[in-house]
Amino acid sequence: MIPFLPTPDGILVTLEPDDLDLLRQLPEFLGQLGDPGEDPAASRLQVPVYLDDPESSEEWWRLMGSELDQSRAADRSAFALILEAATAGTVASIAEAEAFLRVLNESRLALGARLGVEVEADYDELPEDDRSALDYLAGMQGLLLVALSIGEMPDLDETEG
Amino acid sequence: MTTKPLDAPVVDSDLKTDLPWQVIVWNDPVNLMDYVVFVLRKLFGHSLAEATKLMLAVHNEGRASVSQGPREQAEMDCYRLHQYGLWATVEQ
Repeated sequence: MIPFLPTPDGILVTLEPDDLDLLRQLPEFLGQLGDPGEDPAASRLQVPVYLDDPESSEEWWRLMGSELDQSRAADRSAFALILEAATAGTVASIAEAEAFLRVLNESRLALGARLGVEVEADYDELPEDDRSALDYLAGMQGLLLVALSIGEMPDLDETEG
Repeated sequence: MTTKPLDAPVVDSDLKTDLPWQVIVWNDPVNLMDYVVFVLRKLFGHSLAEATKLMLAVHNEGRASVSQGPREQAEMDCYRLHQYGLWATVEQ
């Protein structure tokens, strides 16, 4: 079964029970991260925006942080709604499919940070189970990216011309 | 030691005020190359070739400037990149 297929109305999402069992854990995982500074996953999702200017960084996060939290929570809700309907197959709009994509990516970032992946070499040294979890999510993300990119094909002609 | 006021830093400061603000995307061991290309195209309307060039600059050089302009715009672009989980910072 192909989990993500482009259709004229969006992306047809059809998931196997095993995939659903795994993916259903993601919104809860992301919704229950600790505080930045204590939880590497939370720190990764709240990096400084001004590297040389902690005050401006704090100000940016004070102004934009809650909006970003709301945006991420809305993505998780869209993700959960798609999963609820994905056994029989459901067409997600492009906007909903992009929310799904962001949740997959955010989950990999959070998991990678928890597992201590700070540079690319760290990834190769992970225990096999941990690496499999990241690879599984990367595989899903890659398949969804392909489905989302099919609508963009005309651009390939532009670059060739 | 002299108490004579120095002019040069004032000139530097004026020049810096006029410089555009840059949004920098940093290399990250977890984000997928294809995903970074997708996000850059989505947010900035780059062609596949332009977005791929920027992604490779991030990957090979550790960072790349993906957008330039007034501070408010840079901060908003940074927000949009953070929505997609890219590691973005603002600098002048």
